[in-house]
Amino acid sequence: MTTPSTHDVTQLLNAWSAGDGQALEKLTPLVYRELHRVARRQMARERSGHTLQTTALVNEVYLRLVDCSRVKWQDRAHFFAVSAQLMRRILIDFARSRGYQKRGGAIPHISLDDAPLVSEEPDVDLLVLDDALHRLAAVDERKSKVVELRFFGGLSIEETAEVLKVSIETVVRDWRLAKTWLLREMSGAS
Amino acid sequence: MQPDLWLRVEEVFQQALDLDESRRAEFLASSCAGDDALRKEVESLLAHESRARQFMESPALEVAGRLISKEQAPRPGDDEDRTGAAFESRVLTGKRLGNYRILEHIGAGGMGEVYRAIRADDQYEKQVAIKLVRAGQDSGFVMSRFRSERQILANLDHPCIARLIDGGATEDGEPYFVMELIEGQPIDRYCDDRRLTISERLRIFLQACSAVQYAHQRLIVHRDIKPGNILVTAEGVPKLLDFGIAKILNQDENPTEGLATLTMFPALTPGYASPEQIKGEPVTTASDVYSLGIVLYELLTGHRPYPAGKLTPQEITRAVCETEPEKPSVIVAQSADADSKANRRPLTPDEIGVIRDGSPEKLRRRLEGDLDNILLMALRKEPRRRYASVEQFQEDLRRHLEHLPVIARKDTVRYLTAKFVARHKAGAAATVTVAATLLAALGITLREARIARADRARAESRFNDVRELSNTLLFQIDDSIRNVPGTTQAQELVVGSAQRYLDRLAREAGNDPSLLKELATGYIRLANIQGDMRGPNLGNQRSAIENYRKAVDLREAIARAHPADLQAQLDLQQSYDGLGYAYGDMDRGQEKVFFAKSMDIAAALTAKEPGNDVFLDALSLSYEHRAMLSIAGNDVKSAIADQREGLKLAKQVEDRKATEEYRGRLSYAHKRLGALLIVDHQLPQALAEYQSALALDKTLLSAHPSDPRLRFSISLTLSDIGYIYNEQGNRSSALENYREVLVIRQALADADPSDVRARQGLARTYERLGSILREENKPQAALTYNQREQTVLSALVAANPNNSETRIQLADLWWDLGDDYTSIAKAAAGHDEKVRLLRLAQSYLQQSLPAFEGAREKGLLTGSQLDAPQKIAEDLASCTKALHAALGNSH
Repeated sequence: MTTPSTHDVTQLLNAWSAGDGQALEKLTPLVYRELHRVARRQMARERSGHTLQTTALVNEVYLRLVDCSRVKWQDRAHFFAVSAQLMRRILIDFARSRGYQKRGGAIPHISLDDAPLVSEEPDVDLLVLDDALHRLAAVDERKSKVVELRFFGGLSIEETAEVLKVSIETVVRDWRLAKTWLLREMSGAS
Repeated sequence: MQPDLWLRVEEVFQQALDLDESRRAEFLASSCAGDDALRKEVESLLAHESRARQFMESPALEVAGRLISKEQAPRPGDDEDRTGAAFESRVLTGKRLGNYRILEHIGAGGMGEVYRAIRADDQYEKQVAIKLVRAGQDSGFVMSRFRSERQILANLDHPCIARLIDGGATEDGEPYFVMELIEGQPIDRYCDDRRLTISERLRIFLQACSAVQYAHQRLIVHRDIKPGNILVTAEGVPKLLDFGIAKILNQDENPTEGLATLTMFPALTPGYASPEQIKGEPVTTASDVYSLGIVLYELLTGHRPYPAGKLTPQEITRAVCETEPEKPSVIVAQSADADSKANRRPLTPDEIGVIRDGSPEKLRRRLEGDLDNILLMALRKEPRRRYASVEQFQEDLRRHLEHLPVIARKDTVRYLTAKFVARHKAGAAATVTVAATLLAALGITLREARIARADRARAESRFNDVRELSNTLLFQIDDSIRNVPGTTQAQELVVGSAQRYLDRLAREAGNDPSLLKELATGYIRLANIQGDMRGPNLGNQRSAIENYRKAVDLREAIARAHPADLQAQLDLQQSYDGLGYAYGDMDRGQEKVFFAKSMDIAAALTAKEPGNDVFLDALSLSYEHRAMLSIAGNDVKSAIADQREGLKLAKQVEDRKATEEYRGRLSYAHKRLGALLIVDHQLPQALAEYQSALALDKTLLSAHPSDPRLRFSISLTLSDIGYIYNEQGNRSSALENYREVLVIRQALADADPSDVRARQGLARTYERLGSILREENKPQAALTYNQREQTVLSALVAANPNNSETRIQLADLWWDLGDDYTSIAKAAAGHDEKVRLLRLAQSYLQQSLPAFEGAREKGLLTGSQLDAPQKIAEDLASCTKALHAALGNSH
C-alpha cells in the first residue's frame, strides 16, 4: 500500500469536513494504522514499565498524519475541531465493528471512599460514552464539544480554549462538569 | 432538564467544588434552599466528581488502543516480546525482503522490529536478523534515528557486537538492515543458569566491556546498556546489541517542542540509566561506564543497587541521583527482591551465594575490598569521578583478577602518583595523567599509560606523542565536525575530555614555550566551541570565559617574553577579542577593556606591516568591535564612523586576498554597517549595504550549501532586510522576508537541536512576526507567534540563566504578550472574558517592567530599548485603567 502523504491527509480532512463521504473511507485506514501503533506501544510500555504522556502521543499522531504547515493559521481552530470529530467518528465505528458490545452501565460503581485509591482510570466504553455524549449535547452543547476536542481530539486545555474561543478557566470548568456528568450517566446512577 | 435549572446546577456545582469539602453541605443547604430538584442533582454530581477526575484522562485513541492490546494480551507462558508486533509478524512472515525470507518476529528494539530471516538463495541456511522500521513510524525522526543506527553499525566491526551484514529498503521504501543473528541469553541469566563463579562472571563481563570500549573509540555512546542488550551465545561470547538510541541525543523534530520531546523520548531504561541521563544532562562515555557498573553489580551480587521494582519513577530518579549504593559485599547479606520482569522470585542470601562462590560468607569476602571499590567508582554520581573510560574500568578488573593493586582506591592512586612523580619528574607524570584521562576518555588505547613502567627518556618521547595526538583531536576532529549540523553533542564529548586534558597539562607544563602556545590555542579552541557567539556553540559562556581567560594569561606571558614575535602579539590580540566577545553578553565593562587592548595591538601591528592582510583584518575587526561598543552606549554616529572604517579595511583585505573567509568578513561588515544605518534611520542606504552582503553570501553559499554558519548568516541578512521593509511601511515584503528567515532557522534548529544560536534567532523571528502582526492590528495572530516565542525563549533562559540578551528578550516578550492581551481584550465579547484578558495583560506587563529596569541599571540596554521601561509603564497604566473600567462596569 502506498502511504498517502501528510499533504493528502490535510486535503482529505478538508474534503471530509466539506461533506465528502469518500474522504472518510480513505482516512479510516490511516487512523487504524495509528491505532495499532498505539496499541503496540501500550503493550511495549506495559512490558517495560515506561510511561509516556498520553497527550504527547496523540499530538504525535497528528504530526504524523497531517502536514500542519499546510493548515492556515486562521484555519487551525477549525482544523482541530474537524480532526476531533473525525477521530470520534472513526473510533466509534471501530469499537462497533470490532463487536465491543455495550456493557450497559459499563463502569462498576466504586464507593466514594474507595475513589482516591483507584489510581488506574477505568476504561471507558466508547459506545456507551458516545451515546451519553449525544445526550450531553442536548443539555449543554459546548460541554459536549469540550469532551469531543479533549477526549477524541487529544487537545490540551489551552488548545481547546483556542478552538472554542473561550477562556481556559471556562474549559477547565466545562471539562470537570462534563466528565462528572458523563461518568454518572454511564454508571447508571442517574 | 430545563435550561435554567441546568444553569443553576452548573453554578452551584462549580462553586461547591471550589469550596473545601467540609463546607459544601452548608453551602448546598443555603444555595439550594427550597429547590430539592437542584440540590438532588448537584449532590448526585458531586458524589461522582472525585471519581471523574481520572475519567477520560487518556485520549480515546489510547482507549481504543487498549481494546486491541487486551485482545492480544499475552497469555501466561507466551513469549512476551512476540505479542507486541503480532500484526506485523502475521503480515511479514514468509515474505521476502531482498535476498532474505522472513521466518518470524523475534523482538522489538529501539524503534524497529526484529525478525528472524534466512537468505532465500542460501544453500547453507544461515539465519540472520532483520531490523525494520515499525509500520507507521516513518516520521523523519524515527527514520533518521533508524538510519543513524544503521550507520553506526556499519562502522562497528567487533567480535562482541552484532555485525551488520546488509541493508535495503522494502517496496514501500521503508529501510531495513540485516544483522548477524544472535541466539543467546541475557548475560545475567546466562551466568546464573550456569552458576558461574565471580571470576568467570568477570571474564565474560570484560569481553562485553571491550565491545563498549570499541564503540567509544569511534565516538559512539551506546546509552542503553543492560543485561537484555548483552546476549551471551552458547559459546560463551557476549554480544552487545541494539544501538537504536546510541550516539544521537535529543534529536527532536520540532524545536518549539524541544522540552516536551525530551520527556517524550527518554529512551532509557530506568534501572540502568545514569544520573546524568535521568537528569537530561549531556551523556558521555562515562554514562556507559555507569550502566556497565550496574550490570556488573547485578552480576556479582544478584541485587540492583537501586531496587527499581518497588519504587515509583520519581523514587528511582531520586535514588539514582542521590542515594549512594550499598557496598556489594554488604548487600549480599540481604535478600534480593523479586524481579517481575525477569520472572524471578525473591532470592535469599544463601541462594545468591550458592550460584556464585559457594556461600554468602565466601561471596562477601570475595567482593570486599577491590570489587567494592571498583563498583562504587564506576557508579559514582558525577561522571567525572567515575572511571575515565571503559578501558580503565576493565584494566582495574583485570588487575583485580591478576591480584595487582587497583586504582579504585584513592589512597593507592595518590601513593602511586607520588612515587611515580618522584621518579620521573613533571613531564612523565603529565604523560600518565594525560593519557589516562584524555586518551582513555576518547577510547584510544591506553598502552601509553604503561609508560609508568618505562624510563624517563621513553616517557618524554611518549609525552610528545600524546601532545600530537591531543592536537589532532582538538583540531582535526573538531574541524571535521564543527560545521556539520547535529554534531554539537559529539563536540561536547570532545570538549569534556579536552578540558580535563588541558588543565592537567597546564599544571605540568612548566616553561616550555611551544607547549604553552599549544595550551593557549587549545583553550581558545575549547572556549570557541563552548560559547563563541559568532558561530554554533554550546551556549556555555561561563566556561568559555574561563578558558579564554586561561588563554589570555598564557599568551600575555608569551608575548612579554618575546616582544619581537609578531605572531605572539597577534595571538594575544585574538584571545583578547575572544574574551571581549564572551563577556559581551554578561559584562559590557569587561568587554570594552579587552576590545581596547585588542585594538591597540592590531593598530601597532598594522603600523609595522601595512600590507599584511592578517593584521589589516584584525584592525578591521577592532574597528567593528569599537563600533559595537559605541552603539551599546547609544552613540550611533561614532559607531557608523568606526564601522565604515572597518568596512573599508575589510574591502582592502578582500581585494588583497579573495578568500572565502575574507569575503565572509566583508559581507559581515556590510551587514553591521547596514544595521547601524538602520538605527540612524538611513533606510535606503542600509538596504543597499544588506543587499551587498546578501550577494556576497550567496556566492559563498553556492560553494557550501549546507554550512550552518552561512545559512544562519543569510537568515540574519534577510531578517534585517525584513526589518527595513517594515520600517518603510512595506509590511508584505517584510512578512515575506521573515517567513523565509523562519524556514532557515527552523531547519538549522531541527538539524542540530543543541544549537543555541539557531534557537535564539528563531525566537527573535517570532518576535518580529508578532510585532508586525500587532502593528497590522491582528493581535490574535501576533499572540500565536509570541506564544511560540515563549516556548523557545523559556527553554533558552532555563538552559543558560546568565545570558542577559536572552533575558532581555524574554522581558520584551512579556511586554508583547501584555500588549497582545490588552488588544484582544478590547475586542473580547463578554465582561468576564475581558477582565480575564486584561488581568493576564497586566500580569505580563508587571513582570516585564522590573526586568527591563534591572537590565537598564546594569547598562545592558541599547538604543530604543532604553525607553522600554517608561513605555511599559505607560502600557501598564492604560491596561490597569481599562481593567478598572471593566471592573467598574460590573458593579
